[in-house]
Amino acid sequence: MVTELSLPLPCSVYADDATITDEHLLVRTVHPSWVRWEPVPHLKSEAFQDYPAKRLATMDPPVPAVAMSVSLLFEIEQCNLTIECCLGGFGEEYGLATLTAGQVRACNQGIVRWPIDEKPWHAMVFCLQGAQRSTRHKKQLARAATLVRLPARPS
Amino acid sequence: MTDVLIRPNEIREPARSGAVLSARTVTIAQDRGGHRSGVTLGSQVPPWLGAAFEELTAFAHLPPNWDGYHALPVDGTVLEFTADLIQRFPPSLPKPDMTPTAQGGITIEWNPSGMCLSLTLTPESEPTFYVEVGDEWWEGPIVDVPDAISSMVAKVRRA
Repeated sequence: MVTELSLPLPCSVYADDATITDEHLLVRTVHPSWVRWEPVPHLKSEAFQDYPAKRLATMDPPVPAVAMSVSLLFEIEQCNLTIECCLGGFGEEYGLATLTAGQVRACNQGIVRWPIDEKPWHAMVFCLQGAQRSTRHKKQLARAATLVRLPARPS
Repeated sequence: MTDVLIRPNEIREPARSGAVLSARTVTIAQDRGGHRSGVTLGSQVPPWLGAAFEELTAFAHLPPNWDGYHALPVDGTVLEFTADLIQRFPPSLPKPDMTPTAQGGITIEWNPSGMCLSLTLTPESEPTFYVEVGDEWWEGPIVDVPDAISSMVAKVRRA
C-alpha cells in the first residue's frame, strides 16, 4: 500500500526555485466544489490539496513526493498564451485562481518547475517542512488567492 | 450561540468490517443549559438532512480524477460514515459545508462569524480536525479535539 508516510519528504526531493521570484503569479485551476458561494464566492482550503499519494507512481511523468500542481503565468505569457490555457484538459466548468509566489512561500511552501507534455509552464508547490500541507496553510493559501474566473455554480 | 462538544468514543459497531474510520466513531453532544445530553439516531433529525444526503449522493458518483488533478473517488466507507454522523447532529446545528477531498475523503465544516470548525474524514488515516477562532487555531488528529474545543468555547464565552 502506498501511503504518504512511505514517500520521501517533499523537501528532500524538490528544491525551491529562486528564479520564480516572489512577484510571479501562480495559477491554480479550481473545481466547482472548491468554492463557497455565500455571502460572496471565495475559495475553500480544498482548492490547495496535494496530488493523492496513491496516484503519484502512476502519473506521467511519475511524481516522487506529494505536491500540488500550479501554472506559472509568466511562462504562459512567454508562450504568447493567456491564463485561460490553464483550463485545457479540465473543462469550461472550472474556475481559475491566482496567487503570488511570495504568498505561497509565506505559507512555508516551495515552488519547483515541473514541465509536462504541452505545458512547459507547469510547476508544483511543495511543503518545506513536514510530509503534507497543514489545513492551516491550505486555508491561508485560499485566503491569499484571488478568484479570477468563477467556476460553474453547482445546481 | 450553541456550544458543541465533539468527542471520540467506541459505542458504535463498525459500519463495515475492517473500516478504519468506523473503528473510532464520533458523536455530537449538545450542551443545553449546563446539561450535556447525547444525540442518538432516531431522535429528531436536522432539517437540512435531505439536502446533505443529496450532496453525499453526488459525491458517491464522482469518478476517478474528478478534480482534474488525479483525485481518488470518494471512499464508500467515508460516505457511509459521514451519512451516519450527520444525522446524529442536533437539529439546531446549521447545515455543514461538505467538500470531497482529493484523497477520497470528505471535509465537514462550519464557518460562523470569525470562526471555523472543520472535520476531515479520510480513508486509511485518522480523522482530523481544524478549529480557528480569530487569530488562533488548532489542528490535529481527532483524538485531540476535546481540549481544542474547550479552548475555543472558553474564548467565545470570554468574548
